Amino acid sequence: MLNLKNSIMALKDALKSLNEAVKDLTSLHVQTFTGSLKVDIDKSNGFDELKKLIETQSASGEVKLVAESLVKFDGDSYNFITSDIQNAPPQALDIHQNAVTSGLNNRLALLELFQDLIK
Amino acid sequence: MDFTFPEYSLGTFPLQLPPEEQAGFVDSVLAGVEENGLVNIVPAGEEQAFDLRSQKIRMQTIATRLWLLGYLPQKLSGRQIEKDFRRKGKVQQAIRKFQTEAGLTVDGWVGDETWYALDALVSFESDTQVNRWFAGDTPLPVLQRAAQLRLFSLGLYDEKPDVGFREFPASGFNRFTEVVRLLRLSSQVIGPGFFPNTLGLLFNQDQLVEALAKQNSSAAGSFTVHFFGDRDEQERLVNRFVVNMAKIELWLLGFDVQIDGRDDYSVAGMESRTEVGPLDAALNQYYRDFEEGRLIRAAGQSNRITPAFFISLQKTAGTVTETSDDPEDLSREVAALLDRPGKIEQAWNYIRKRGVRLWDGLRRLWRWVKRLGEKVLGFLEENVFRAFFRYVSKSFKIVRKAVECVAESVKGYLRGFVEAGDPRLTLVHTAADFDYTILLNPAAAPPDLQFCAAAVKRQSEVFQLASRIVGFLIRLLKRILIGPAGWAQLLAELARSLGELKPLYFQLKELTGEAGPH
Repeated sequence: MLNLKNSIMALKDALKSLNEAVKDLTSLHVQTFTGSLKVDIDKSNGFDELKKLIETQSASGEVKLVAESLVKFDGDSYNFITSDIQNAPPQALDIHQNAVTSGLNNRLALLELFQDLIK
Repeated sequence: MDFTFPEYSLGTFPLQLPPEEQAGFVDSVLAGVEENGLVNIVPAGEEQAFDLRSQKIRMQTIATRLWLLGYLPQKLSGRQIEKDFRRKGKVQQAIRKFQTEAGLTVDGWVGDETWYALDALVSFESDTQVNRWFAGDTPLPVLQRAAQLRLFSLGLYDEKPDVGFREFPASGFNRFTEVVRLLRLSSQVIGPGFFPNTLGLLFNQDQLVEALAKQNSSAAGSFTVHFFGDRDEQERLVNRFVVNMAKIELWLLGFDVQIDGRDDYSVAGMESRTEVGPLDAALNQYYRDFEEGRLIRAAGQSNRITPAFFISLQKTAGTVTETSDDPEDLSREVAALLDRPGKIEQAWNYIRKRGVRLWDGLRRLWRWVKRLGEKVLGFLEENVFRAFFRYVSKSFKIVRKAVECVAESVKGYLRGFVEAGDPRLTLVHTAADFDYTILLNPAAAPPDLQFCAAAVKRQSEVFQLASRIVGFLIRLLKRILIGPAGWAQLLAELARSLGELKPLYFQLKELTGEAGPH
């Protein structure tokens, strides 16, 4: 009804789209680079395109990997910090750690939500 | 016609269905509560603001408040309001005029901003924030109207504002300043006009009660009046003021009295003018219930208003400190009183028939419970109904907001990026499974980087908090809908849950930067 039309199935639609889009909740991957892209940034290109672009330019040395974390929920984890960290922006590691924490907490929140629905 | 809950059964929670379908069931329950007007919903747009089914209770309050301030020519009945809202007639014109005169966005429908403005100007228990209603040194017309209405309510001006309102003159405050002087209600200079001290006292009902309580002449059990002119006239003025102060306070407690500005009751130490009527009955009940008969003995007679009445009120206000003066702390107690569907339907019948009265009195209910304990809830049934409605509405607002936040967060994550500042400086991309790829430009300054970190954190915290609230709602629904259950049980559970939901909501509100006092 009325303006509820858009939000009436808000929860259902959200969980449905998330369920369809989620590829892997068993591991978390966070990469933090420094540098600038050589192309105009168009957010509408979507995550995959931009991620590819960053990775391509990383391979060519135009952007550099500062830190990378791969957290696997079977207990296996991998962390990398560049040896050239002094030349990275000072808050880079904080931002990276922040993103790791956010990613882990988001997964937990989502899993708990689904658990509430499944239990 | 009495109100009955629509489609009484909500059905059972569809545990056998996949999670998305269960989520859809949760959505439909929430939509049902809104569509059937079971809670006070702030409309999201004009179309919803004029939807009769979901907005009926708000419409009554809006129309009554606009009439009180003189934007409508008459008080409209429920049927008239519905008819007028259906064709967006006089009420919409009045809303536009009010918004124009209040300096608000003029859109012709009542959202949060206009609702709170009406509340601040009309309610006895809200903070009027008088400074807000000035353009430079000039009081906005809405403040002038509100001042006239307040003076009328106190019996100190002959009429409330009407549709012919032009300007409220400074001389309109004359009787108020005279009463302040006669009863020494303030140690400050209270001049006739829109002065900060004058308005501060006029719009502070608690302060007026406190000042009256201090006027006790212990020898005679009457008010100490400092006459300085025509004694008969001044006595009439004081009598009228005291009577109407008592009416306001009794009305706020839920008694069946009218705030009409009339001088129709006796005040201790002054000429007798007692009429047997609603005020007499209300005072008697007040003395019997709230003071357990003590005041009847102390004052000697209950057919006149004595300082003891205001001392009793003031003592109650004094038992609660400002920080703990939170009417929402009673949600569990109030929900426990309304634990049967029949009782809840009775409450909704009451609520549907009330307009402006729904929104005042909760603070006083809370104070009396603090002073006398839960037994107060037994003899303030109407206030209990109001409180219940408010608690349910607030809980509902919280869970609705949480669902919206979950949906918005998910959309954000699926969009693939976090709004984390200038993307040429800080670029944060996300995947649906919450992986992050971050690109920091060496040219980014520390504030850019801090903003970026905060944005990532904020988006995640909103999602987590909102998910917790939604999880709470799902568990609640599963608990009560284990078998067929009705709307009444859902409303009772929502009211009962307010205490648990509120801390989460405050955090969520802080993160999302949502405005508004409620």
